[in-house]
Amino acid sequence: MYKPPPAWSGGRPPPGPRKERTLEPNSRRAAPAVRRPSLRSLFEGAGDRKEDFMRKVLIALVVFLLAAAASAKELSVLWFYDDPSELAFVKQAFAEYTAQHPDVTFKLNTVSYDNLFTKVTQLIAGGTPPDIVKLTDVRPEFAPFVLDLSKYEGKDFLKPFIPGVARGMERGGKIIGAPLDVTANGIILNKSYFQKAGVSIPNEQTGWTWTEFEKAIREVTTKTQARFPLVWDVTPHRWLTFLYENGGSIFKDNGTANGFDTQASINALTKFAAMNHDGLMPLSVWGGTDNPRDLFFSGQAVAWMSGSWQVKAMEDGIKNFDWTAGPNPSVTTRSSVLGYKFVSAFNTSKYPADAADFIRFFTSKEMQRKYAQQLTVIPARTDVGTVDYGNPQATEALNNLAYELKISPLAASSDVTNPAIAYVWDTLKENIVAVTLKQETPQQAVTKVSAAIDKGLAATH
Amino acid sequence: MNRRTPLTPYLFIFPSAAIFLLFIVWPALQGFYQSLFRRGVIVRNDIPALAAEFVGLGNFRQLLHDERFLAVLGRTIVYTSVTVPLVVLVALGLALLLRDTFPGVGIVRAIVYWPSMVSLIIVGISWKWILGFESGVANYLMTQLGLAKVPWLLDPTIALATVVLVSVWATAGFFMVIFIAGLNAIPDVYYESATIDGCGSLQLFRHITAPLLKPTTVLVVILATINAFKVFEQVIVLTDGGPGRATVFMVQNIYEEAFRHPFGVGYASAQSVVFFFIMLLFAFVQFRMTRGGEA
Repeated sequence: MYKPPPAWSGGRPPPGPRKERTLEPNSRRAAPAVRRPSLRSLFEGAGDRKEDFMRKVLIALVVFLLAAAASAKELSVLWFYDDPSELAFVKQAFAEYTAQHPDVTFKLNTVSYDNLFTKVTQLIAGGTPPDIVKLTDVRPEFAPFVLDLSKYEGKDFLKPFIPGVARGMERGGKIIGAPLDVTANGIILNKSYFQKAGVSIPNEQTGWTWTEFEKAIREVTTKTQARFPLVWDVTPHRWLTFLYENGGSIFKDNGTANGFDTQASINALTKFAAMNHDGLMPLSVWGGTDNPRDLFFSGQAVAWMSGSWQVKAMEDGIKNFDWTAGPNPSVTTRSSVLGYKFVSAFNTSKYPADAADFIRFFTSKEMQRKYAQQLTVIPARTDVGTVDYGNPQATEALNNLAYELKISPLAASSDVTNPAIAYVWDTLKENIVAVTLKQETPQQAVTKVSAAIDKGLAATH
Repeated sequence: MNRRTPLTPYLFIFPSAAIFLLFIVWPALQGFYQSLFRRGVIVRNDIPALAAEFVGLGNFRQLLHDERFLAVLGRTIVYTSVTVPLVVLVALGLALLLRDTFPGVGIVRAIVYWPSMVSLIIVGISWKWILGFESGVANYLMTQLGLAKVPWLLDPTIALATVVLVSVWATAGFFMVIFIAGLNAIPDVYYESATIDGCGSLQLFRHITAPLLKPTTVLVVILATINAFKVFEQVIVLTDGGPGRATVFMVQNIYEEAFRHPFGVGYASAQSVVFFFIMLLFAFVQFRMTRGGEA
């Protein structure tokens, strides 16, 4: 109901009736007509040629992006590396593959070797396993998830690879991966120290016994500024070299029984422990935390038991002395130990065929040749031919180590490819250290390691 | 008049409570459940090799006879028994020395407190470089002085003592700050009265400082005990549990069992449950002592 305004009581005149605001076409406040854009208007004919062109470009772009998203396959890759140059090689390989297969892209994740297996199991447990992974072993916990490459590449896929390595890629009738490179354990020598001491290094064909080797490196140590005759990588894989050189093995009977419970094992453990206490090797490496690589690189050690994967690092990192590899000394047998890295895929991948195809591409003859050449490794294929490493020291060292592998006993390759070995590594290392530190006897160590071997055989055979 | 329960306080504590429930309580309950199985990190009941096998209390029965676990448990208790009193004494001593103001006291306190701000991984790496037998700075200086090298990390007993000392060095600064706060909370009037009555420094400490500092001391002991029992980072980097297994403690043992032994997660979870109840016992005893302190 209308209420009249109160009577004016003087002073300021009362406000007049409110004027309704209108937008007159010619008033100052009038704004030009604004046409608000809407999604619908994008698809309606506008009549303006420029606007029409931009609308068509926008539609085409949206359609292209949607199509690209629908057809793009991104393969996640988990990779560990010894040398940074390997990452550059891998990324280049991704680019080459994508150039040939535009619908396939890659997402690379790296991990340190120490954390590799923990990372893999955690990723699988978390439901985000990688499509492709670089491995050195297939552990029991994730073995069921490894893709059978024979379904995509055929049963003859492993024929071009070194037989010992190819054998390791076959598990239960499946092909679990493609070998990348082969490694060989061996003695690396400070050649400059030998020359300075006037002590000669025998050639690969002649070789030397462990007694001759020990005498030579002790003599070189006394005549040079080296502090230690020998340092040894702290891994059970490296220690196996000494086991085989003593005529021992982990398994026997074609890998189905425990071969460790022998006098050869006791001899190897006893002698190895003694070497840490009689001045041949520093106790602070196997008994402490000193790094044998650092000791050799800094010229504090005459000889270093390590392997072929160190050649690239030595090529880049050692500038003040000459070095070489081999011959491995023999106690009763002369031996190296086979190692290898390989690429696998997981059967949880959304694109298993593409993952398998990339593995085939990455381990093809041409890629293997480039991989071996650029990363200074021993190729895993037998059809690669002679690799020109471009460095005489590296070439000599790798050729020597490859020869060591060639003349090694069967156990040097068959033990490490036995699936039961995964149950043995930690126990073996623990007991080698315990014997070295005189915390237990060699016989006690053999008993404990044998128990782990039996457990592994029961779980995998 | 209606009394409405205020919702606001609960809303304020909800984020913390949610995080606590999600990241502490739920994983703990899962750990209890997992300890009843033999299983690995990956469990897939449709794959026989990866299926979890219910063993009930089998893992706990195994623990009772596991010499390795019992040795680690004993070693952890010994380590805690030695480290905690040392940390308390060193922190209290530093607090008594540094609570008074003098020129540069701020810098000295910062220097003493600095190790507790540094990651324990860095602490371990630094001391490893200092105490390395062949390549360490300490032994180098000793040989320069004509002394024999000390097997800091090579001899099992000395390595254990080294871990204790490194842990004390890394944590005393933090507890020093707590003690300084406790000391500053003691009214000066007590000291003044006692001084007028002719009390000496030792009597002041014994009859005034120590009793009134008891609640703070109990808090420091609780925190130091929990810290000591769950020691891991600095040991992994400093000795990796060596030489041999001379410095392997509970947490490292649990970690190795879970992640380095195939299908060891269930057994590791059982060890974690035992670890939990031991910590709970410590906390219960200490809280009882706290109530005695407050009285």
